Amino acid sequence: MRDIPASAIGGPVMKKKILICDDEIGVRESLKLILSDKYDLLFAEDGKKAIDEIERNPDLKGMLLDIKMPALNGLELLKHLKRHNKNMPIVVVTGYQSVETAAESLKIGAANYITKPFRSETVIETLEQAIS
Amino acid sequence: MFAYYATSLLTAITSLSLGIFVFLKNPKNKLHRSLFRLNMAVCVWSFFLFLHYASRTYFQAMLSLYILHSAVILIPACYVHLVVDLLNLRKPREIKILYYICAMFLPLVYTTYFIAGIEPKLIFRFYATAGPLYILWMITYIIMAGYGAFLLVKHYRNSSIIKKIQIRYVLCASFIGFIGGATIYPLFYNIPMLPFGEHIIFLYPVIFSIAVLKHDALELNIAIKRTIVYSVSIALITLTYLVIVLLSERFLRGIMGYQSLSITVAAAVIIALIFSPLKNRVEAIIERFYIRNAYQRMQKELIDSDKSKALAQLAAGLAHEIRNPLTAIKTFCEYLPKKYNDKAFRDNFSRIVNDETEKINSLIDRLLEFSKPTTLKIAPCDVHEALDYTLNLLSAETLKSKIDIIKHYNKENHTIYADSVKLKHVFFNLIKNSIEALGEGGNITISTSSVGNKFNIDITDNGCGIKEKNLGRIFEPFFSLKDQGTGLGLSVVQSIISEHNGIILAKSAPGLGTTFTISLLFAKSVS
Repeated sequence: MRDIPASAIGGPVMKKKILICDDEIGVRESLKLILSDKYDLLFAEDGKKAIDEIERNPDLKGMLLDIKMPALNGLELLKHLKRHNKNMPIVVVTGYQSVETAAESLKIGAANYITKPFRSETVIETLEQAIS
Repeated sequence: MFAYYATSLLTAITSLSLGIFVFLKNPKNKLHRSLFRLNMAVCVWSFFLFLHYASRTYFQAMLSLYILHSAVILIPACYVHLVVDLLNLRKPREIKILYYICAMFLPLVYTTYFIAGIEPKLIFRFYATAGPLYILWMITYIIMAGYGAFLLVKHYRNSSIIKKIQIRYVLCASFIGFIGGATIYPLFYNIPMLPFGEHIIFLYPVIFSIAVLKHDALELNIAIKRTIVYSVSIALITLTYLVIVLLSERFLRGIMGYQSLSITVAAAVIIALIFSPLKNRVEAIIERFYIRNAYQRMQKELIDSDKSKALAQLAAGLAHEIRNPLTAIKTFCEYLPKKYNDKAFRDNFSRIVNDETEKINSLIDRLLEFSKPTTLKIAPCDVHEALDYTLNLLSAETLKSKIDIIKHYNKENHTIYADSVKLKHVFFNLIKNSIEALGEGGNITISTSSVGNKFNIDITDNGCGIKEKNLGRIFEPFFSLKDQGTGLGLSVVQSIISEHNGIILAKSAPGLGTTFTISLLFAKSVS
């Protein structure tokens, strides 16, 4: 699912391209609300679709990734990307507030993590730090 | 007097057999090893108590008294060790000190400071009289037993449900063991009181074993059954032997001259002849009066503990599921003041908040369905009618997906005692799962059969199947293999079947299909 391209929204400044991968439409819409002013957003509903988007968009600057998803979950996708040397910064967005999940995602190679329900400032700051 | 022989022997048999059973069950488990140690100490104590009561000479009585005391002084330390292991506390130094304290009494046992002597008391041919230092041992016994009980009570509140049940059992066993044991000592100080508490001590190893093997209740059930059967059989045989000896003494001595060897041989022949039928008879009686209730109770406890586990998983799953809609609602509310004038935002807000609230609501509905204490409305229920009703409900979907329904209904009795509404719910979930697994085309085969008092229903599809690694998890709440699944369907199904005292099993081969087998009782037996 591709969002409106940055050029259509206007402005000469090229926005950084970010992929949001979450199976919940509500969460995708929320992240769109928070980030669409600053970033050119792409969306994927599951891990497999995220891989397709990553292949199609080599200029991706970062990714927000849910953990619990059908088809291919966030941790599996993270492992897959690291195996294939896709080294873009990935921020894990998780409903699991356990230290273990966060630690595991960081061990696999996530840049950082945020937990749901999140504050918009947290999302913006964490993503900015990760891709800067 | 016979009662004292019998109960001390019974305690020895129960503690020995259950101690060995628990130890062999898992020799590496420290709790199992602790129970084994305690049971062995109790076994040596009670066996030599039996020999002490049966002693005919002063030497036999003193020797057995020394040996039983060598074992009994270790019991409080073994008990505290078991409590510490049960509560998973790390107190290796304290435990060592307790064993050293108990061991300090060992050399004293063989002196007159500990046991002043033995003499006839009340109904006993020989009974010990306490020496001046015996009181020190009594105080140690009370302090250690009290310390064990204190640890149990202290850690009770913060323990898990299963651990709480174990603690309750251990407290109950401690009460029986130590209070029962305490009645032995007044007569040591010539207080004319019979050690009547001894008759209940055999329950002490039984209850301890139940506590330790809480998770293996069914196997324990078998062990207890065997222990009871053999204990009762041996008690009856001892009684038979005593009767033969007493009758021989009274009636045959004058007629044919008393010869203890010939009487023993005769008794041995009679015992050999009656042992097997006697054991079978005892087994049948125990099966009828005790085991059936115990089995049902343990089965219920297992289901309850499964339910507790399921509810814990449910809570964890709920936390995750509910956070997604909450995230959306929270974010849109956060942006409402800033973007109130943006019509597109307002439309989006209205749609998203409404949809996400609906998600939470439907999640709660399904949760309540799973977790509310349900009262089953048990009545005669025609299983075939319930299956046909459900198939009819789903006929539009099976037609649309071009799925063939093949029915192999048994022709015999197909009316069982069950809650028909809940059973239809079970069938609906399973058949719906099969439809989803098939996608388009394929077969769903529904077979019914009856075996003894059980009625079996097989629902088979030749769909995509379930991978082996997932098969063991499909009944877990919130475990879903479907994109839009909540993961509650099969856990609700299992919960309903459990309430009917039935069983549901799943077999699957990826690419070949899945079979769900439900086994229900014909009879009116529900948890």
